Amino acid sequence: MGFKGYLARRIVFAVFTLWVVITLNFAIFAVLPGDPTRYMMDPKMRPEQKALIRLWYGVNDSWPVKYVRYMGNLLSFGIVPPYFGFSLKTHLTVASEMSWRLPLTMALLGCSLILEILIGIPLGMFAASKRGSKTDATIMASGLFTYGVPTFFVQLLALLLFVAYVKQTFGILVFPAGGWYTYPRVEGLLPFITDVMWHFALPVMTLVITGFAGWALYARNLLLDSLTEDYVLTARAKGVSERSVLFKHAFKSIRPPIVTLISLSIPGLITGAIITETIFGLQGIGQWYIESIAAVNADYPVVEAVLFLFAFLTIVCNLLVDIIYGLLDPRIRVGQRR
Amino acid sequence: MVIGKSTRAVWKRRIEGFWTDFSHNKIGILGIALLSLFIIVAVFAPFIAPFSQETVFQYSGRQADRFAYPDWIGLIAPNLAGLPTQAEHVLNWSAVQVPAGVDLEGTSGDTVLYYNASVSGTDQPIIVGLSASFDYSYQPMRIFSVGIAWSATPDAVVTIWKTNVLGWKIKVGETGTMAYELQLSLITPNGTRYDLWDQNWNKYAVSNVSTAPAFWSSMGSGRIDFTSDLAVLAQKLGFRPEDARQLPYMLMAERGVYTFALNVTLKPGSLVDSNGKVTEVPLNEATGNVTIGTGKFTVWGRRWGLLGTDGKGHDVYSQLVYGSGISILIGLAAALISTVFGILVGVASGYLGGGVDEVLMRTVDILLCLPILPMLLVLIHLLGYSVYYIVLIISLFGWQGLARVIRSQTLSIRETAFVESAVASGSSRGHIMVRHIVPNVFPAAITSFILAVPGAIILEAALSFIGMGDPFSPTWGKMLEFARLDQAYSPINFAWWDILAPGIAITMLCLAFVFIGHAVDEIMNPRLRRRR
Repeated sequence: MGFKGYLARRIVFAVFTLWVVITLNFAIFAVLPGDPTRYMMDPKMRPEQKALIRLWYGVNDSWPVKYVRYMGNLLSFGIVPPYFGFSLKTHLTVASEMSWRLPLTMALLGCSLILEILIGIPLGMFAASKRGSKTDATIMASGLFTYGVPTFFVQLLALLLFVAYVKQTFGILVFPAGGWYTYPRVEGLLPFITDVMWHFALPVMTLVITGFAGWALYARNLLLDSLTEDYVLTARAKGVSERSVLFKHAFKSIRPPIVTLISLSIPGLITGAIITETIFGLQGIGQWYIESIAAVNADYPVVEAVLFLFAFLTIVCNLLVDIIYGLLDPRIRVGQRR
Repeated sequence: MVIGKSTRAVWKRRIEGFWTDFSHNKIGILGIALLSLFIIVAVFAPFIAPFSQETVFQYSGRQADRFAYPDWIGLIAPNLAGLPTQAEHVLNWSAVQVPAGVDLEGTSGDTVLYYNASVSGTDQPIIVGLSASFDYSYQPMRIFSVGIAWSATPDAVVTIWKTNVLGWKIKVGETGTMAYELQLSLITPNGTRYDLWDQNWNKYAVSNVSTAPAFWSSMGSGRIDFTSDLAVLAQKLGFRPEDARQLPYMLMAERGVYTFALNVTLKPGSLVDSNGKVTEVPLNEATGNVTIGTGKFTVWGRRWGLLGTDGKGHDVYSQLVYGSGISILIGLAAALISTVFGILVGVASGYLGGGVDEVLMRTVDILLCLPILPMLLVLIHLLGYSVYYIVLIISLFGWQGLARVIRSQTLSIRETAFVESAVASGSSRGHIMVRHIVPNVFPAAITSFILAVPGAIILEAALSFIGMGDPFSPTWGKMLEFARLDQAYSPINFAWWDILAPGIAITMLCLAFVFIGHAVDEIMNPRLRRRR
């Protein structure tokens, strides 16, 4: 089985996983008791009006009909009607609201992931090159520390420091307390982008602070592991410089596991994004999801669509990583199983 | 299952050996020390915490002002050393002015005024002055409250008659033989007098002060009970209603002896009929008494206890103490369930192989690429916001990694000679799994168990923090949630203690487990030791 077979298997698995997730999701909302439209009913409404609302949301349909509609709804990706259905709260299509919320979340996720990797992995390699020194010990300790400190605590601390302390003591607002742009909106595109970046600075920074050390620790340990391999010994015997051994020979072998870790970190990143958006009042899909699910009457079209999106994102990232892994690791190309 | 003597000896030796290794690991000992501290706090919580769990987590009632600083704030910020602590001043009334016709008697804290109009000889109001002083030597408080109970009893109720044009006596109404009015003022050290309260109180809210009619009560009891942040109070004192929150800064800006003056005005009972004619009780019948209870003046402290208060005025230190046990329990329970699950799935998958292996491992693959928190939220929404479900759901998403590790270990153990000989001697598959494989994958499971605890603690804290936790369990995550909702980080509140205390507690507890896990990992996997 070559690379194509491997690829086909990964794609089939990804599609299957997606199907399992969205079917589970459907099952959960199917067993929820009660009529989701009950909070929309005004006692003054005539029975025909109530019946019309129930018909509109398809409450009385049998569950296979609901399932087919649900699948069609999600697999249309919100690009064609029914645009993920109508929110029970705003009565607008879910896709229309998602279209401006999604970029915010993606920006938050993307920026923090890229920065974490760009800072964490070189730092880990640096620690590995200085193994046993004080620098190494410091990086290791900070890695262990971030394993125990909750992200939301760091974010509250950041708010406390920048929004309360610095504002109170020096009277300058270094970072805004929340939201994703200054209200009222500043004129012009470039000032607006700068303003949005200013608002994103603190959330991204705090995510990176709690995230990068884990990457550093992981990269360091992988690198030190690979230093015991025979080809490193060979390289050293040939008289290759220590620097070159580390960054050329050893680094090549740690790329596949790092790529795997990227895929495994996506669910954690989504968790981080949900909490971060809640704290900083960024109106991304994470905050939207919490709002919709914690309401008395869960806004289930929103919950379904956002959960689908999260699952889709995670699974597609996994698939991409599998493909990159296959390209990086020659053993997979010649047909060995991972 | 009876454990044989030799097995017991083996385990004893193993544990002793493990302990010898562990006691040489500084990080591990630090972790154990930290964890022991938290366990001691959790076990003795009712004795350590100054308040009961209900008092500090219920929604009404408070221990001090909202976001009160810790008591020791003066040590790091000398300008805040003068803030008031929580105090209740008892107002013991002493007579300042007792006109003729009133006998004053103090019994067990209460002050009783006996009124007799035939002695005073006038139907005009006479004023009895009472006062109580207290020393206030702090900066102004943000809020104070006053509570004084009184009751009045006229000696009799008299019927008032009216003669109509035909000469018939018609009953107009009934009135007590004595009428009274109360008025409370605050006198500052420099002599300024603020009339805080009287029985026309309710009328200030709706009409102009100067045109408010006199309000005479003839009997009954009541309480003077108000806090300084009432808009009515500000209005009565001539401030704008918006200034109500600033009132103590204007009233109690000085340090010194403040006096509460309570004027009790007494006169014969009277009835105003529909024509506006006032009929008064005859002087010889106008008797009765008014009882004034000891007052209470509460200064809501802006410094309080070891760790101040939160946004609801509840003691942070007590909350912190009560949170310890529940966090440890949640972490251990979730980690235990997921570890047991991981062992079961891993061993079954590795040893049984075939279809079982395929199904279990594909399930693991699927679960590993699910967005965990969103799924958790959906399940919690479905099952209910209970701490038991939360533990169950957290553990449901925490066993996959361990299952993979255990499976690969099982695969290698399956090929060993002792398993082969067990198979040859006719042991059942269940017996081999329980007696031969599980004990051998145990070291990996232990490490994984310890390292899973901080993850579970943080996840539960995160759930509580975003408002999806058990509303009835006092966790540290919930403290942080309330700190966020009450804007502890805003420049006005700047309640760092309310954020730092639970946050550091979570971090320390998690680090304790990370340290122990790290040490155990080094002992169980000696390969790691050589690496550094």
